[in-house]
Amino acid sequence: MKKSFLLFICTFTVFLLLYFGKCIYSSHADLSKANSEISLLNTFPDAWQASFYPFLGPGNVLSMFQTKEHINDFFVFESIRHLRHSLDWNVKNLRAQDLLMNLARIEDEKGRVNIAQNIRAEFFSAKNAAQGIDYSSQKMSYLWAFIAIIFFLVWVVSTLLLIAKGFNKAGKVKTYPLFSFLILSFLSLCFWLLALHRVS
Amino acid sequence: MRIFAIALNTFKEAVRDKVLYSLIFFALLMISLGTLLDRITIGQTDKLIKDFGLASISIFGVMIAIFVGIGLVFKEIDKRTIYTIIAKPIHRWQFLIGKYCGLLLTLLVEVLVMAGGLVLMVRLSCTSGCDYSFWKAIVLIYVEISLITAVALLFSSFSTPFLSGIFTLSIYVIGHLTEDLKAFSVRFDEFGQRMVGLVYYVLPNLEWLNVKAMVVHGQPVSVHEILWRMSYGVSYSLGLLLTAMLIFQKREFK
Repeated sequence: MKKSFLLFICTFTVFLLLYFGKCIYSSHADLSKANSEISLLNTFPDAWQASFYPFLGPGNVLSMFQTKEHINDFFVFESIRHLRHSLDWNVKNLRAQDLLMNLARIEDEKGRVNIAQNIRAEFFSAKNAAQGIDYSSQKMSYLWAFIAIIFFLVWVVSTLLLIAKGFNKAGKVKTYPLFSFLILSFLSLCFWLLALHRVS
Repeated sequence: MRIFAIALNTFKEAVRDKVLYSLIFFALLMISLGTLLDRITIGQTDKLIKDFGLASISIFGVMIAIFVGIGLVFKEIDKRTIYTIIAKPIHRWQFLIGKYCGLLLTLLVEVLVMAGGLVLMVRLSCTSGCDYSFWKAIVLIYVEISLITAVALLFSSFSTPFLSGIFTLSIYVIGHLTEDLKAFSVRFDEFGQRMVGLVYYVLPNLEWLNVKAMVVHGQPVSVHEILWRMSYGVSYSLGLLLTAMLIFQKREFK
């Protein structure tokens, strides 16, 4: 493995992070557009944070609700929207259930009963979606379909290579290329199953 | 003693490699980047730093394990140094185990350096009552890296570095998604369920070695549980090593 290639991968990772940052910023811009009554300046920090929760885990949202008093309804629902996304992504999320119930309780204490009821409704909806493993993200489905297609193509190429070069002069199949082919087939099968699981 | 000599030599060889230093540099850079993200949190800086730091240790640890692991045996064959080694009174399995132990030692040093960086960041960020329970996640990250190294060693015992790299990376990705395979199997008939179940049990369940979310969110993880999870990782690695030894024993060098 060449050193320059490794350095390239590391730099690429950093650029990937920057790219994600840009995507998150774009999603923030969408959030701002969604509610024109709230000025960009006021919304920015909260919306920015809400965008990050799927990455950071939902535990942060609870503490934020406990520490902040000026949270508006817009932000409450944006946070829940992101949390739902987080739930879909990570079915085994440890504190997500407790979190949403706690959010509802906090809203009850604040006297905002309607919001509390909405949060509970969102919770059960998200829970049902998670139990049915409803991966709603369209982009992820495309990504998995792409991975499956790539592995299929690699598998086809490796099959052709095995046929063309995998035999010795006596006409017997060479052991190690066969091993590699079998492992590639096995891994391709796993990726196809995972892709099917995500896309279906 | 022979295994120890090979392990020590592998370790010395690895620490001379400048690539590893650049990887550690990037890992430490990523860990320290966590402190810059505190502006997007409210009172959750330490949690964010731990989250970011543990993910960096895991990702860069696995990268090092794959890049070094796949070249471990191939380099010896490519440079033809393997002939001088196997001509000596040393078993092939001893050579393989020595190489593996040497790499584990290198990875241990690297994980300790990265963990040191994370501890420093947590120490600098927390105001009072720092929580260092994330060491449990780091222990399991190391076990996971050891398992990935064993996977890389197994593939490199009969395949090219390029294919070994792809295979090992695929095992890492699939290993973290095996629960999905299990969940998906319910959609098949009985035969299909058994087949997918077999695939599920053959593949390493790497999520079993992932307690990062638990420790970061302050969930209790007992030492008993850590030991139980470690035993799974170690047994799986031993199984892989045994298979690698069997293949390497029968391999012909031209």
